[in-house]
Amino acid sequence: MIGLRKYLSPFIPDQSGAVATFFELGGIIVIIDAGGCVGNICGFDEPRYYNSSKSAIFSAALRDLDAILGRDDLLIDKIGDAIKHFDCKFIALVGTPIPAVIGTDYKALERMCENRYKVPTVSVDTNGIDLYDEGVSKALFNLFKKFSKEEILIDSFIGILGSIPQDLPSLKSSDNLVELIENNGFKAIQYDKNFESFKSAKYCKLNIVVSPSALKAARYLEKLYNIPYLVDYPISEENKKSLIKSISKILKIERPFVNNSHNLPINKDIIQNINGQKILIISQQVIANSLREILKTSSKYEVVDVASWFILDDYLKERTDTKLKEEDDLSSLVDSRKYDVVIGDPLLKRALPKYTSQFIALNHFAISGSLYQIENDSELLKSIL
Amino acid sequence: MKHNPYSITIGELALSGLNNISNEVISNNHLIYSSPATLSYNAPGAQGFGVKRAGLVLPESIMLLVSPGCCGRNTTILGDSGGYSDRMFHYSMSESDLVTGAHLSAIPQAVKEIIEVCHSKPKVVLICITCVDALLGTDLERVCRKVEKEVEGIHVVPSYMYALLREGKNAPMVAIRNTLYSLVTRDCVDNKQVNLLGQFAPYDDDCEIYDLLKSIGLTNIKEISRCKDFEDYKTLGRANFNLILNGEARMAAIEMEKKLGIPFAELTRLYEIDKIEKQYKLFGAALGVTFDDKKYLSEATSVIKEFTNEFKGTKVAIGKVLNANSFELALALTQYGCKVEAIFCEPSKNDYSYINRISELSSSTKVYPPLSPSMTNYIEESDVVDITIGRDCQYYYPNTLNISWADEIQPFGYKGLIHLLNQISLELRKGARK
Repeated sequence: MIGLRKYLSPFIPDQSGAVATFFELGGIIVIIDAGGCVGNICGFDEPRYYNSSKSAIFSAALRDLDAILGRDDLLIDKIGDAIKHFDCKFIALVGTPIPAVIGTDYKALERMCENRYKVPTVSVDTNGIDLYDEGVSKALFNLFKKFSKEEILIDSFIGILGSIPQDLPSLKSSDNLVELIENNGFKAIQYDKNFESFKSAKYCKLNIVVSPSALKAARYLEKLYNIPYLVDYPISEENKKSLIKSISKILKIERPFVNNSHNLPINKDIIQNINGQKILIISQQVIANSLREILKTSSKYEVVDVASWFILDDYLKERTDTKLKEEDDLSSLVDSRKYDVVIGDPLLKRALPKYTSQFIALNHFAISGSLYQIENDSELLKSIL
Repeated sequence: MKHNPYSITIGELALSGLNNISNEVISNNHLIYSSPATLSYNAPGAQGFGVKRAGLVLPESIMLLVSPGCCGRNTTILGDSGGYSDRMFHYSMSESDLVTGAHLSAIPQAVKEIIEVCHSKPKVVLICITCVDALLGTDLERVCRKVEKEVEGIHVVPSYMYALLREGKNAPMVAIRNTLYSLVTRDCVDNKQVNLLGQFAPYDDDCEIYDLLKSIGLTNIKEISRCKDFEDYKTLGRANFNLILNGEARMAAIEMEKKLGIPFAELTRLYEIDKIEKQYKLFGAALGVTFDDKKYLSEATSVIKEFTNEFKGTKVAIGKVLNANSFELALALTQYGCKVEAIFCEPSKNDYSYINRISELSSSTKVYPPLSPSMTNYIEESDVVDITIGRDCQYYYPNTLNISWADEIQPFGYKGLIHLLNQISLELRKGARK
């Protein structure tokens, strides 16, 4: 049935994706809600919440009359009172279902904040219904749109886009990637950890997109500043080498490969332990594609498809890949195509009550939150290694 | 520029009165700061009973949450640890539902489908809606009546997770208590039965309230959390009277009095020993009996004496996520010889009787409003203390001894006080050994 979830929780919503993007940028994040959304975002969807004080998250604490009367001026007053307490770099306004119902004018709120407090303000019209990757996509795009035209001159660098923990295997993933790139002689900056980097975006030589939610921003930067982008996330030792090779090729700088300190599985071990012919990988598209590339190096698999409830970009998609919408879509797909190996978040097993063949765990925070979170990428696919 | 967290001393608070205090202390007047310490304010279900988990205290029930995906995110995630993921279901509203309300017509079919996948046929289906339906003006009772006609032999009851109404008289945690008792019917009266209303988990087994009630002939003491099945739950309607032990259940008790003619009385959880004694006296007088509480009074008195002898001058900080009123507890501990350095809680009008009395004993005690935006500047361990009480207090003093005093099994009365002092003593002794 459309909309019904019998086995799975809804996945991380767009508002949490937007907050995740702003989380380490040093702004004040105002979630325009009654309080419950903030509770869910912080308590369940943001793994960095308990260990970071880089951003201040607030609930607008809307009450029924605020929503009915649309008291935007009161919200702006409260924001003004809050920013007196710290030196914030920017104000981020994040939407929830309440402003979606009452038709809040985010652009007007942005302008009111900027005019009154002279603090740059960026808003995201999330609605709590779309999925997290839409929220990430909107937040990143709006940040670049707002700030990339400013001029903060820095040395050229490689930008990493979309590296929030909701999209990557572990909390250390994005730092490991930076380490790998820097060990190979390139300067790397994770946009979602460095607010100033948005103002230096035009000095970026190459963007590496590690999740499909960052594609819109990467294409915007390509169009505006002619910055090329590469879509990849390494999940094996061979993947790492291939990524560095691609970077070197694009930047036309040849260097011998230097590994980082975090070991990943090797392709042979992965292939050896996946024993079926028809494989379905369910993950965010970039990681799923990386895994597919590994499996494709072997001739033992007849079919390797990718499916996802999240963004499936046409450019990265193969013909038989499937965009899932409802919970039931997964079991229908697995039944109809008779996959004999399913690789996905362990929580998804619940939605496959009749499936009895091999299921390989590939955790995805956006699906199961901290239930199956791993310490670092070397534990990825650990159920088969 | 250096910024500081807002704080006010109890003395200043008492002097200014509630009408003249800073906006920082009044949560309605500012943005709500979301720190790990205030998570329970925004999401009571994150670490305890929120609306969804509380609703499922109703025996043999399941819940269908009808909402945007964001409200249902924690259903299974949390359900896994709370052990109710197989009783919780979600219907995700679409963007057009927000405008058209079409989701309401999908509910009957959704209920039929979830019943099919249940391990055993439920007796009750709770349908829970959220803020967006509050704004849409959804008549959920009508929807529930419609669904009930289509699912024979199953009760379908409405429940509301309206965060928008948090400070109203029908706040979500009040409304869910109302829902929980809405299926109680009164077929007969058992003069020996009393219902304890208020919590979603039982009171400590050794709590004197059970013995004291039994001693006056109320031998059948019922609590919803101890009902083994729906049949057992239904017998709640036979009570001689309801005894409210948490004010958030008052509305439910009033409803039961109105609908079923079950009268009610109310007791408050206290930690001041003389007030506990006085409350039992007044309660007894109202019932026309005298409670023999000497045994418990004497045990509590000697525990207090030992505690004061050993720990006089102990510096304490108190949070707000705990099984106590933070200000009443601060007053009690001050009376027992502790030096309460800080209280992390916004005062309400009802707290002023405690605030005025604390100010006479310890006017320099600081009060921090945890929800204030200024708390972003709070530096860990700002005031040196020996122990902190409250789950949230760990956040403010990560390197100090802590007892959370926020278990789901509830403390009350003399035994609650005894257990609290014993736990504090144990922790302080352990700390001293390290």
